[in-house]
Amino acid sequence: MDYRTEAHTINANAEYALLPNWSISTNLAFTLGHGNITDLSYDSMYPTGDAKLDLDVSAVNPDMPHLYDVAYLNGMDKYSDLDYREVDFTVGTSYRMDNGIGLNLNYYLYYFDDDDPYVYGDQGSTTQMLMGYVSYRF
Amino acid sequence: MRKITVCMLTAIFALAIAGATAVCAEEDGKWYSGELKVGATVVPEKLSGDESGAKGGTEYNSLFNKRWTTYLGGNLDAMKDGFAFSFDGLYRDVDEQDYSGLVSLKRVINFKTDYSRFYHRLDHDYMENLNAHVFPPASTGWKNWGSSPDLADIPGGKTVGSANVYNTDLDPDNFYGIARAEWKNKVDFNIPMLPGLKLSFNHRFEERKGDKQVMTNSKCLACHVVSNTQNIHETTNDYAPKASLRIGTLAMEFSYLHREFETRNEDMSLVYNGIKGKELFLNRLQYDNTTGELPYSRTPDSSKDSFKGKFRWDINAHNTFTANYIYSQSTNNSVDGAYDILMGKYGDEINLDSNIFNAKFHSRINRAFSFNLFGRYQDLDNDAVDIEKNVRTNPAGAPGGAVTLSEGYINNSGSSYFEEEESRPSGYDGNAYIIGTDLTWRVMRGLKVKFGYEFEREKRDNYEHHHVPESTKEHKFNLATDWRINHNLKFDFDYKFEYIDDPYVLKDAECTPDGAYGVYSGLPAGLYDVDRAYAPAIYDERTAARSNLPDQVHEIQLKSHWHPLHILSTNFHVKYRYAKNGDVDGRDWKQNMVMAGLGGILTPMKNLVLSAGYTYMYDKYDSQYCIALYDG
Repeated sequence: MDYRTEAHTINANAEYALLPNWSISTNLAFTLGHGNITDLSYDSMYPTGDAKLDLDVSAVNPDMPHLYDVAYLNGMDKYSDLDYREVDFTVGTSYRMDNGIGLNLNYYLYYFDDDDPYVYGDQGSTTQMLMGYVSYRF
Repeated sequence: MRKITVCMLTAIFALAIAGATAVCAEEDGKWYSGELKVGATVVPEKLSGDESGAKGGTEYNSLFNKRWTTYLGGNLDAMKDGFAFSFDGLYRDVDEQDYSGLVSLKRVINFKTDYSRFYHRLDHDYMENLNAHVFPPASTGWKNWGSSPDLADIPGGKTVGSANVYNTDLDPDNFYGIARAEWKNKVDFNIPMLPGLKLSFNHRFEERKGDKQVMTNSKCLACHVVSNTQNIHETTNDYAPKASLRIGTLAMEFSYLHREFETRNEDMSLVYNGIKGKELFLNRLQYDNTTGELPYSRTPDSSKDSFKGKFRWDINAHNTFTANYIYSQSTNNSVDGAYDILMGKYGDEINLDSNIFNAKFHSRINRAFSFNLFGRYQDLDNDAVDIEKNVRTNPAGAPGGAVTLSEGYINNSGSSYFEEEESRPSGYDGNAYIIGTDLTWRVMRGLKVKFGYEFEREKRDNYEHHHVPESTKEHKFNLATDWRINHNLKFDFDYKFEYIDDPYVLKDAECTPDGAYGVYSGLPAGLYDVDRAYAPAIYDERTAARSNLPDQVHEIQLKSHWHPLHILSTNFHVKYRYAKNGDVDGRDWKQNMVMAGLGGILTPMKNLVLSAGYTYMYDKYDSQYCIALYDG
């Protein structure tokens, strides 16, 4: 079987000094990730003559004529599928006055979209944060 | 605790500023500088418990657990009369702290300290992949495999439970995380009377506190996985004195490290085989099950002592010789007391001893040629682990006698099994050496060509016990060029080839060498025989060797840097790796990996900087899996 992972990452950054004492900056990072198993398949193989495993359950589910068949595991490869998108975005500004006092404000956005959650559940989340502080240089 | 910490930090900052301001007022000229930062962080929507493993910038950030947090930071630098002081700190939360400080007294004594603390949000494994079981609905609390037929409709539903893989999460609503703190201190003494001598002492303290999910097997061993929450509290202390001396063309350094790792983790235990009326399972457990609860997820206390000596001789302006020797001993401190069922050996410590010797000779023959000759030797000696286990024996009459299945299972008396002590030798025991050379040729101005060759041999003492090759030989070739065409354009090219003879493989790892199905025809009916267990029926059927390590590797890489304009800088890189292992049974193991990227920095104006980049990664493995399918 093959296991394949693939990722595309794009990032962009800008820093601009509007005035000698006032600057703004922004950063964006985007990641698209995939992972999957291919060419995993089982031929049908089921026990014969076993009262439990070879139980005829076709009346319940026509797609599962035998209670236990190796071919039922086909599709198991989907458990390993990965499909996610991630965005990290930051924008901030910094202003400093002549008397040494400065103002700083930053905004952060973290976005993670998990399209194939499995063992650990859906790990997708969108979170934001705003951080501000006053500084004094001496 | 949080309020106390904030108050203390505020007091430290205020005192530092007040003190510095007061001293400055007495003197002309500014000999100090600093900055104080006060603010806050707000998170509009906190992370909830079920997002314990959330990704996307939140995995290592505790601020998302609270709506409001403090932002308190500052730095102070002062220097006067040969005395220097520096402090930098940031407090945002109990689990988000960073501080560093430096004190220097006329550069004779230098003291540096760093402290950082962060939170690592851990995943909660819901074990959804362990639900392949078929139980009647009456067994509440156990999930049915989603694609199974409705058992209520199956005649005799209680007896269809042959495929029994399931899980029990004893704390399903908890979320996990560990706060890690590290405090490093270093003091240097430069002896004025002995200018080549420097003495130093390093100390490192690391602490991990929090909760994590831990798992163990249960009464049905690997078919039933149980998880619970364990409170973690682990500390590590490193003490490392060091002396450095330089006399003329000789330089040497001697250092010693003593490390203590201690755990105060919650003691985890589980009652195995706790189903009433199913005591017949008791005699199939390998552990002593007569005392009820059994421990799991225990981490032993350990210590490490290491001695290192480094030597360098600048023979002349063109030739240099360097060498170092490292001896280390790591000790498991949890096994020298009373018998511990999880720690294996008892009454004696378990030690891992290692000797490493490195040497390198560098010579610059002339402006065009230089070369390195290097070698390394390492040996490892790890104590064997003694394990006690219960071994089931056939009751009188079996095998092939008159003992029926029911009689055999029900027979729980002590005479039906005995305790066996097994000595398990370490897979680490052995030695390895490396010898190699690399040659650099400066073909012309701006163009360098490098060629390297390295041979490594690894020998394993206990290869038979661990079903691995006795030795592995690796030949590594490397060809690289560094070509600067002009000030604006530069290329780096690198090609590596590795050939590994007898790569590390696990012999008897899986099914048959040709990859065919190994079909187990089933148990002999009627009579009890302990020898018809997994070993002959399953394990002995595995005769094929597998590995995920290559016996051949090709790796090629190209990098370029181009400055087409004075305001534009670009870079491009591409790397391709092909690895395969044809020394395994069945289908070859292969890897194909491509990584490429490009980026640029544009400065259209003095006050504007723009940058952008793109990276592509593709990694594909081709493996053969032979999956054992168990029936009950």
